[in-house]
Amino acid sequence: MRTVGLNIDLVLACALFLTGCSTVMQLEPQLVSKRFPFLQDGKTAKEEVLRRLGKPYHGYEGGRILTYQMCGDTDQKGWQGFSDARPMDMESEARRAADRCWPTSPNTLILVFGPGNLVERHSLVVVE
Amino acid sequence: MHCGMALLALTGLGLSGCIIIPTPSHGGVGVITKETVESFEPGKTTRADVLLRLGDPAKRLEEDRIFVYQWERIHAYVISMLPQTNYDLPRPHYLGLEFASDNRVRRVRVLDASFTFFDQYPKLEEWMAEKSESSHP
Repeated sequence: MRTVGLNIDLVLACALFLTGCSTVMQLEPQLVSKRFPFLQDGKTAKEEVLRRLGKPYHGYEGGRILTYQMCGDTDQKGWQGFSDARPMDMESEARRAADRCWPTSPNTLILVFGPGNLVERHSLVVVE
Repeated sequence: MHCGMALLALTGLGLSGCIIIPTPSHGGVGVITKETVESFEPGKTTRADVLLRLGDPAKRLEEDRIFVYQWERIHAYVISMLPQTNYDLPRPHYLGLEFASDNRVRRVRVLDASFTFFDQYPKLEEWMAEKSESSHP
């Protein structure tokens, strides 16, 4: 019985120690620029964004804010780029994006447009 | 009633040879940290700021007046006497954000899951109801 108790303690201690935690974070701006070189705050027009990336995943505030969900393409050297995570035909958009990106989590590119429909701010949110 | 159901569930698990061991919350995917939540200042932070920081919410309610973000953390382990049947017990956490008509954050509410069998989402709905009353006096 004592051995069983010890084993449970050991399993829990290992589980707590080994279980990783992935947090939502913004990717460094220079890394975003590297992956999306055409995106420049104050310069890139919404028209160009739509032409290059297609229909956005979500729009907010009457289209002033657009988001795209993308999968991180991984290889042995790490992430090399992003691919469109837009869904096929399944029940919910979030679920579809997650399935499409499995086993990684979908990443979100957020674009905020300012005067003249130019990109004012942007970020890439990743789960790491 | 909740206590009775929890007791019943625990008894069932006990009789089936399983035990549940609560732990401090840990692990999880897409965790929104306390520091991130604290960076959102009512009256100052905009909807755009939130989206740039966290991406799309899990739920958009009342024409984007409310955003709900959700993530899970492990709060317990189920340990069985049978081999290879032990597993972790994740519980959902919620972040609710209410925006004012100027697109700035009005209120923020985080619901950390405690060790319970019941989802905390109804509490978030109560919070939303409170906010609706204060928004429309």
